[in-house]
Amino acid sequence: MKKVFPEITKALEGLPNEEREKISSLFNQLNLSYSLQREFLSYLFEISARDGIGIKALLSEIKGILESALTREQKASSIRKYLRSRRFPLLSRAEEYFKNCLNNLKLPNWCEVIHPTYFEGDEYQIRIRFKGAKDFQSKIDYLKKLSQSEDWQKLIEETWFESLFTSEDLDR
Amino acid sequence: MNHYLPQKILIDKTILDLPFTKEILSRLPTVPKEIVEPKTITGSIFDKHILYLTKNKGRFFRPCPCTNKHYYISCEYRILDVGTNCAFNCSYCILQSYLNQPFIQVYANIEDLFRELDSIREFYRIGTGELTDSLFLDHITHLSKYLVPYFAKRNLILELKTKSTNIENLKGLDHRGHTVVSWSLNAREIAEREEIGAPALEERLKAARQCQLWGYPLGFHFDPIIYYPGWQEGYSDVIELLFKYIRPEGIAWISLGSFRFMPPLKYQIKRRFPESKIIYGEFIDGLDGKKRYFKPIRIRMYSHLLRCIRKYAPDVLVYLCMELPDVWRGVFGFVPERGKLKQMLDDVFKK
Repeated sequence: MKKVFPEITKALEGLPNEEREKISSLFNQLNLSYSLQREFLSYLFEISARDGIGIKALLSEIKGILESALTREQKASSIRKYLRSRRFPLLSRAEEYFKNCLNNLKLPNWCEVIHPTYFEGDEYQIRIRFKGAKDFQSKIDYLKKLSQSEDWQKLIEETWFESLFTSEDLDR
Repeated sequence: MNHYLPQKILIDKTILDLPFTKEILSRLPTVPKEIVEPKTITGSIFDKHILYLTKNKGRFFRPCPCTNKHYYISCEYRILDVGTNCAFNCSYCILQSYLNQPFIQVYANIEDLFRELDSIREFYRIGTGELTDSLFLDHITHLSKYLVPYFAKRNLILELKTKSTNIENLKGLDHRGHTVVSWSLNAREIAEREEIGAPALEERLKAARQCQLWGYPLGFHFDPIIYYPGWQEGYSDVIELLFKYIRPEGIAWISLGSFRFMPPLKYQIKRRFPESKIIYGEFIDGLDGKKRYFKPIRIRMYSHLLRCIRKYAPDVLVYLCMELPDVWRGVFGFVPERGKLKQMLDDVFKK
């Protein structure tokens, strides 16, 4: 059973008792690894500092997940996703959008498309699995056809950046 | 604006007899002095009340470490290291985590500096404002009186990059348009909250206007552009203010650069400026290891500033500092090929 790690306990020292206890209880309940405790804490501290919102109020936002019927691992994963999207709202939305677009393209399972990390840079990766020269040729033919499709081109050219984020999102 | 005055001067014993050392000391007769053995000094870059006169043992002239040129487009600038550190306390200053030399340092072996400059044969834009503010100490060093006339005689461009109003020594110098005096500008809210100790925007612009009247080409650097609530209005307003003071015809260039930093800077800012919120932006890991705003934010901010500048100065050269090709494309609709940005900036002086 993992617990709150000493370095994390030290990082919590400046907080009011109630917030400290709530965070400790969350970490114990989810049995988080050290790196996840650090990650969660960083999200909580930074969202709180950025938005001027108390950690107690932030934790109440994840109450629903904690009280759900999900397994402990699923809860940890959902809370991580929630906090990350709260900390990095535009990046999370872009990643989600990209994932949905890829799903809509219905790519075969032998093919994986990876966007540039954080969409920085312009190099995409494609990974394919194949057996022998004939299979390889047929998959290359498939990709060639895919490369002509409008949906694929739009996705890879990142023109969706312009429409995904409205003025309201960016001109805060 | 009061000019910087050190509370103490440390003098590296190896430069004690240099003419530039004597000249500097003659302007600070009442400040306590101590001669030191360079190997024995200890201190921090935050000991800004101490001025340390020492020797640049390395090279004065070097390429700008314009990050990873493979990914981010470089302007191929050159740096002239005349000293380190600065008297202002800007929360975002990269020197906090970059410099490992204590105090405010001035290199007194300027004979070596000019020897290096003498050996340059190509055309370069060369700046002294990379590791220090180019002018904040000029009332003490009078370095501009040496540099400006020297560059006037050479096929080289000197850029003096500053936030200060310390321009008195520039008056009457024979610059022949070979010195660009540049100011770093920011939205008023950022300038007031994050640029602690630096002159107000209006003061900087008054100094810039004076330099323009003295015939100097001017540069302006909106860097670091900060994404904060109200950023659009903040940057629109400062650009409007800029052109209230400055005629666009005399501007050599305007650069735009969004806030970026090596990760350790975050902890310095948190520790030294706990009230500052600038580190809580939506930063991602850049390809050069620096934290940068997520790309759509950068494109949006640059595009906005560019539109505002174009209202007043349709022909002034505006460029992005250390940006990706696709950010250039998103903002300007084109990507400068390798070497092209340098050429664009060099061409300003060939018209």
